[in-house]
Amino acid sequence: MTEAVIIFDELTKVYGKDTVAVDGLSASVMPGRVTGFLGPNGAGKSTALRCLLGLVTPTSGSGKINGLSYQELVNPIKTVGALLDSRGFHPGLTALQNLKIISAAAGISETRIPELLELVDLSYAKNKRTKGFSLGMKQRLSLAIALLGDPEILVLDEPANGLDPQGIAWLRNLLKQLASQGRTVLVSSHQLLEMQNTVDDVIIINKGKLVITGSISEVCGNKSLEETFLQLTTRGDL
Amino acid sequence: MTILLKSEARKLVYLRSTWIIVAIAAFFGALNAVATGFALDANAQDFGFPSTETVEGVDAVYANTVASYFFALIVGILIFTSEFKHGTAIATFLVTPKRNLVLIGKLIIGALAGILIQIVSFSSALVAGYSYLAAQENAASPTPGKWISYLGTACLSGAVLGVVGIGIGALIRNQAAAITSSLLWLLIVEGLVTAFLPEIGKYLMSGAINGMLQLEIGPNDFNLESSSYLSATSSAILLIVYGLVFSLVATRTTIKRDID
Repeated sequence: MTEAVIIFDELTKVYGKDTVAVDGLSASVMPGRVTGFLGPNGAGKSTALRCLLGLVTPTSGSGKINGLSYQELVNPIKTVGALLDSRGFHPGLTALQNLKIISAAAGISETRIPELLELVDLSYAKNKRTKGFSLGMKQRLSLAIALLGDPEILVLDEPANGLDPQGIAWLRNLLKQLASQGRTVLVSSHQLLEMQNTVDDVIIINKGKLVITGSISEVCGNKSLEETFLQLTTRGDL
Repeated sequence: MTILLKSEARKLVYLRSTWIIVAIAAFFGALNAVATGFALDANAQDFGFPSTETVEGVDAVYANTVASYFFALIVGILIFTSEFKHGTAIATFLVTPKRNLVLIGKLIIGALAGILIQIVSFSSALVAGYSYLAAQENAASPTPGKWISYLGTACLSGAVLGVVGIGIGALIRNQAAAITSSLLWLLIVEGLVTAFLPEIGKYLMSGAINGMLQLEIGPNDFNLESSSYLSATSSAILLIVYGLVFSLVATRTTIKRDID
């Protein structure tokens, strides 16, 4: 039986005394598949991903990658590539300089940078300061950073934010291409129609709790992902 | 650690603002040296200061080779708070999730940046002070070897203030608030306490720096005489303790806090 590469085990994060962001989330992500991590605004997706990546300390439970916490990974950026925030680079530096800083910290050869800039279609802007970048360009640069270590696993939080229709189509193809190379992709998004065409499995959460998880055909049956999502996440709220 | 230091160094070297701060620190040091010379010669009698015709007055002019230490504090604060202001902390801690290693890297680079700022400022203040004194007819010569203790003070204060800046940045992540409150403390509060309550002031950071300078410029209205401070060695030790305390603060706060 294939083992899950990402496991959330009763993950809980409480801010302050009683603000529950994630509430006992248990779910797993299988290797070589694109898994959609879906939920309404404030459902706890970003917090769960940050717990998984060691940026936020869980109140209880855990998020593990290949059986290890993120801090325990020997070379994390070569195992997991993450896109969490399109602000993740200094606006006073160029795209190239931002990538050089991260490649230096990770001990990754700079020879990989030009091919990545080509992949995310930013070669033309490599010497421009990122403060002049559009949101779409920032997302592309964030993707380049996520791919810098040529990781087997990708964790992407709202990667389509700020992308125009061409950009979204480009992202869809990129995710499919990455999955076809055997990589595992965990992607959160609000764009359900797009997700339906991209993901193999889904994890749907609401108010910090797991609502349902499984392959898209198991979860949706003959309904669309949007219909299923709305039905599951608005139950009791209407 | 070497690759981490390389990355942290690049963050500083690539930024224009780093070099602007270095240039301003150099200008500030030079300006202070010349202004001190003018002030001593123009109205020393009013405040009990010696003129540049005395060794003490010349030493006071050259003491400005140390004056830019607060720029090291600013750079230290920028090294840490920029990560949160621009969201680069996420990438930094994703690449190196062992936060204590990141902190050690930042503390080392902060100390080195502080030393660099102070060496550049020392050089410009030395040239400016020498030029001013050379233009005076009866300027005295400085105390032999004094410049060595000034250079040592400049380097140590630069290193420690760079480290302290990182500690403050870890505590107060809002960049503007961290810089404003630190400068108010260092330049206004410490300045006043050092001048008017030397029994307390000698234990503060600026008091420790003054103690290392060991200025012998006689009784005056601002307690700028060595008897008001700890010995040079004790002052240096005190300054190092400040650096260690703020290193600990930076490490403890960064390891515990969530990166949002």
